[in-house]
Amino acid sequence: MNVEEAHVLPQRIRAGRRRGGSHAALLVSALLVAGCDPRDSMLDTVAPQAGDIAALWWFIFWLGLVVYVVVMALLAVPLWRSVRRRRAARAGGDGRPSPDDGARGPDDPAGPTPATAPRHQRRAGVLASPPAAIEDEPLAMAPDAERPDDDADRRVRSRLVWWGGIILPAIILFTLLVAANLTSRSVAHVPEDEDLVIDVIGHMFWWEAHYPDFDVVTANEIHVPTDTRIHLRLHTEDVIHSFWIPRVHGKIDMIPGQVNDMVFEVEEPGRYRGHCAEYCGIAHAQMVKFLVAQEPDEFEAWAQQQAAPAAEPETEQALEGQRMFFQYGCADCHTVTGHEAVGGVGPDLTHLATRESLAAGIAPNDREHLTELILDPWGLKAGNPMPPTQIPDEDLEPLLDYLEGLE
Amino acid sequence: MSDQPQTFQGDQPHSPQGVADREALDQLWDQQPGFTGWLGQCNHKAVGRRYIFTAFVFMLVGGAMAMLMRTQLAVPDNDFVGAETFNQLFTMHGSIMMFLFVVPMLKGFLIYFMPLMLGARDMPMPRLNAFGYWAFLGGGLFLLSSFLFGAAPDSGWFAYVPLTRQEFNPGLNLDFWLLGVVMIEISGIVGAIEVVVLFFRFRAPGMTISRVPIFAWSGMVASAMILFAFPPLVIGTLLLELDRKIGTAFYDAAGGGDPLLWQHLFWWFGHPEVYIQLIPALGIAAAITSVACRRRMAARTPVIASVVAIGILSFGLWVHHMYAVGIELLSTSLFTAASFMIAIPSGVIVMAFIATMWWGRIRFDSSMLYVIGFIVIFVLGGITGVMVAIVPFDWQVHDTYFIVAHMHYVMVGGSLFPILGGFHHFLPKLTGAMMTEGLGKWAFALNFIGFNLAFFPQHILGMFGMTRRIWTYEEGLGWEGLNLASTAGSYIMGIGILLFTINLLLAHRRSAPRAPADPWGGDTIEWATDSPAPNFNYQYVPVVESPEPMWDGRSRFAEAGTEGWAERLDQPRRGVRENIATTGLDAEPDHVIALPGHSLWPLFLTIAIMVFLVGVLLDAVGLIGIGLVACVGCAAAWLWPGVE
Repeated sequence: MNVEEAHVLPQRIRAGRRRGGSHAALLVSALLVAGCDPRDSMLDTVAPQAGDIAALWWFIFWLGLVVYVVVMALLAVPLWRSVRRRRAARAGGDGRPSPDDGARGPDDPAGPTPATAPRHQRRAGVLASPPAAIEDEPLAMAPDAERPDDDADRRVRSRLVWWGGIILPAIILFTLLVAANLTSRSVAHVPEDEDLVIDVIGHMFWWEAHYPDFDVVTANEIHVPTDTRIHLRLHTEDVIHSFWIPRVHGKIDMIPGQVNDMVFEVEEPGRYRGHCAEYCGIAHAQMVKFLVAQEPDEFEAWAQQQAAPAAEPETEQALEGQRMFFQYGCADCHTVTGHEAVGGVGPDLTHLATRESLAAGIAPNDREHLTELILDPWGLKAGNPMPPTQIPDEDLEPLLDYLEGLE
Repeated sequence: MSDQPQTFQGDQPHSPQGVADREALDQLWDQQPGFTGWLGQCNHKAVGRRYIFTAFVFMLVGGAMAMLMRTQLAVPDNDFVGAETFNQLFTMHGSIMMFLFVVPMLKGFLIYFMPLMLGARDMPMPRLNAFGYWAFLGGGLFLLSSFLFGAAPDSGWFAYVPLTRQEFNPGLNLDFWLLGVVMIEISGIVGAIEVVVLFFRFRAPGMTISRVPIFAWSGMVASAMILFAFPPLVIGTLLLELDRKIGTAFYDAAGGGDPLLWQHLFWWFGHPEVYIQLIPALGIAAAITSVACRRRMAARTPVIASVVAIGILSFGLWVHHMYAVGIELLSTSLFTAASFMIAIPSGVIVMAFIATMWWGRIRFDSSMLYVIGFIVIFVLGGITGVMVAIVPFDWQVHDTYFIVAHMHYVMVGGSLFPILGGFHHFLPKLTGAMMTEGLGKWAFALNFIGFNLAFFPQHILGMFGMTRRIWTYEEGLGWEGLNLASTAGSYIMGIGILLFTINLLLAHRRSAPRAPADPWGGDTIEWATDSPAPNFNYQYVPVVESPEPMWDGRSRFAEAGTEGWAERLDQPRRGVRENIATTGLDAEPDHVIALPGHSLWPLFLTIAIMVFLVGVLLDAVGLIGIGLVACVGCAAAWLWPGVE
């Protein structure tokens, strides 16, 4: 992207988003009536990338709506005529329209509406005979059907099929292709050297994030600074997953044997939610992540804190819990930096207590859910690879104290 | 009323000799007595009816699964079925509807009606045709039997690797799916070969290529597509089964393979597949429309050209299912353009439907209501289809409920509605029964309202971040109201389908009125023969003079000897089933071909293949050996001259 474009683009995006915003407000208010308050709408955007896509959506939405209404109106014409004719038939008994029938067709015994015939004939040379007439065979009818005027019928066929089926759609589709390609270019994933790189690795059924610049490892809650270009390098440990935060950008799959790039910047601080978007097995529905956008200085502080080794247990009870962490095999899978636990299979727990959610974003990080996760991981999330652990209460309480102290 | 002479009247003999011949012909083409006779029947009408009946039952099963899923998703944090069952349900719902309902149902319609419409007495290879049905039934039962063993496939109807590789799916679930699908695909390919040969060689004299009904054109195009689309999936599934069973690494990135290879093979099949399901349904809709409007389909030639164009273009779109896999933007943009292109022939077809109705002479039978419903729904599905062909927009809505909604608007609008309309329209010729209009219209209304209520909200759900294939969702995401509405809609549609089924059953009760030969004033020659069609279809050879032989006043049944070429097909000769074969383009009579009848070997061959498949499923080498030997034996017996 050259300098000039870079200068112009944000304005265009903002304009697009404002427009999108008012449409979104309209839609949202309409839906509030129905009791909906979407939390992760792709139209309620916080990033220029999603903003551009939302602007594109409103363009194709209105265009599509117009096309649909026009086609349905065209369909309504013969339906309406038939209904009238049947009504007239019931009233008059002869199945023909009454003399005051405004929709008198050219097949009417009284002849076509006089005003239209010459006009059609005048325009016939221009409009009604495109390259080749659609069909010059005589019109075949059921023996008992009424025959419409052949010329008028040919005109209708030409107009509907040539203009409605080929010429207008071609123009609309070409316009759309231009709009699609413009948006594609503005939201494309083009990594640059100065981006903040984060490696995101999909697992069944959680997300691992590495910050190579900060030496930070975390899970399921991916912190990013606002107004900074973020470059996610997406890969997977096992099956195909798909990374998606609707309010930020579209989804990109995580595929074995390759690394996919995703580039975006977030403009507003906040916690943005997103499901795994590629079916990945039994707990696919419960594989959620949050993108936590912070002001750059807050992010810096967060990263410093996360890069440090785990806090030392402060109470006697927590120290006891640290022993339980090893005794009950937690350390076989989970890493706690600084405490000699190097598991590497499950999520890194070095700063577990700083996260707001558990089990890939499906439960709040509190003592109650932590207990459930340890004792009955399948109760919280069927298909969870973590085995259930039998722990008596006197050992569980210290363990929970220890885990809650990992700040 | 027209003063045209109506020479194409009923196919009835005029002499005592003719009546006796008719009786003898009926005997010759009838099934052999007894249960084995019933099993060994291979006449296209028996096979077609079996396809239609079986596919209808599968539809009810697949529909019930959909309602279980909607019940689970009606409210947040529901535990009505649970994760494992839900994953099996959505996998089997998709697989059943795609492999066991729509394609076999449409194939049933083609196999039953195309020979009738073209003036033939049977498919060109009746025993192969019967084999196609048995393979479909065998594959379908094989797939469904997985439920009995608690091992129903659970990796989606798309079966993406590596989730379907042995390491992530060690049970038999996927083996059931892969082997069943291979069987069904073989059935599909076999049927497609039949239809293409039928189309080019078994048309009535005079039915030149430009006089073939649109229904038959659409059947031929869809079948030709099957010939190109299904083999890649057969290969793909076999490679995956090799990966699973003997540890090859076609799809294993660590072993030098590529998981995306599966997606390319699958969608090379999968995208044309949706058009394979759409195009014959368009043919049904066109047949209904021209009869309900009492006139030829407007822009007949452009419509046929559009159908052919769709058939060709649909092979250039498969990557639009794969925009998010990391293919570079330039390549995906080409697929956007290609996807847009297919909107043009589709638009031509929709406009031709409207132009046909334009002068407002529509008879609003239930069948026509379904066609109107088809246009209303399908056009919306087409518009969202253009939307999702745009790369960045698809990045947002891909694998969300937006796609679920789009896909059902296209498939239910484009396939199910014409099929239901087709039942109303064609049932007289199929079984001699007629469905009630009153009940039919109620069922239509419920289906139409229920469908829209079920699927329209799903567009919005997708944009609100609801991904596909999730068995639960938590409260507070703003999805509750729309999901509840969607579930309510699915129940309404369920009642609609139930009413339709009741109507269908009532039509076949003993006291129900029987249908006349031509209840609707049809345009194509199947309406000239009895309802239901007699065993031999036509006693006298039809001679076709236009695309609407019933209306043109010139087409006729040829009495023997009155045409220079006419051999005596109106009487059984040498005790052999005979049909007249004509030239490919001009339908000039070429020669008389003898067709085989009754045979149990297609059934035995299917059973032998099933034994082989069960052997593969259970890793039982003995069974595999027995199955293979039996396959060769059955095939040899089938082909042995003189063996019946």
